[in-house]
Amino acid sequence: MTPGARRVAFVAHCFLNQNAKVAEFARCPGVVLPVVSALRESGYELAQLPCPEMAYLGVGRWWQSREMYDTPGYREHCRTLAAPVLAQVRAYRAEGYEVVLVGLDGSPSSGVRLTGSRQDWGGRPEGAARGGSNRIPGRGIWIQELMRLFDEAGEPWPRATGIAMDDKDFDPVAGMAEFAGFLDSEPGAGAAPDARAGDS
Amino acid sequence: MIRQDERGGVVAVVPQRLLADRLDLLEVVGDLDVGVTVAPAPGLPPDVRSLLLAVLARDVVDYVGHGYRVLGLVERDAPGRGVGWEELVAEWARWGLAPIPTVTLDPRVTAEDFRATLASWLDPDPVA
Repeated sequence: MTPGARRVAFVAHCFLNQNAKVAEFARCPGVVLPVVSALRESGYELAQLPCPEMAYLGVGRWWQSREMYDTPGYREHCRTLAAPVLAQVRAYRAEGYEVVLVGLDGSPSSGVRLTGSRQDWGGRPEGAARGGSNRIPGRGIWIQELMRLFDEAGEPWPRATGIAMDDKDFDPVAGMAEFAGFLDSEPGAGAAPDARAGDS
Repeated sequence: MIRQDERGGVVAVVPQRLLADRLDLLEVVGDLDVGVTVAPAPGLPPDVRSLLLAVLARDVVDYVGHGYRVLGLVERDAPGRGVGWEELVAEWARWGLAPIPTVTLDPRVTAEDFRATLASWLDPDPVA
């Protein structure tokens, strides 16, 4: 880290508010403290991304796959929410901040490296009873629309990673160690592996 | 509220300042099992700020409608009480929601004092 450099992490909404999660996916009561502590110890300020799923379908929403969210209406909703994020990132950068983004890997919306896919979900909401969605390489719809807006605006995409808390096999110790490594890597050196294979 | 996981069912609307230079207080909030939704910083362009406040306000309407407890952690002397309070109240009124209860946040408060204040609000009559 450059001495005196200021850093801000834009984090997926649910890392600060597990109440926004779809039912059965909250892993703690409210704030995911290991994430906040890791950011604090690495000298980051925080900014919270809006939760597009919460704003679109509310806290009582059913489980959804990436394919179910992949509609023009939801993408347009995400683009509406993306504009303020772009404005905030620009404001931080204008003040000399290094900006990173921390998404939620495995999420159909907020995944940076992994997203939640299930081609056969739809109609009567009983598909989840036969098992959750599959984790596949790719970005969630929200992250895709954010990236698209940054690209159109000519604003460099922040260094980004995801924490796979939506994966039922998530290993918190290994996951947080990887996250700490990302936070302490130099700008331009620790970008998340490209996940375009799963992008549409 | 659907209780099928570890969520605590309590959400605090907090000023952006809490995420900038008072992460110690954010950790107290988390330690007391409360989640946070952050109000936009005052310096943002008005259209950006209005959009974010409207989204936040409608999220709160949804939480309250589903039985969650929601409180505001507000700053007494800051414009908009640090969270865009007037705009939030106006948006809540559109949806028939009365202003949420608040706990006043002193900018100079210690983490220990803040913990006591917030804990008291969350559980005003703890069983001895």
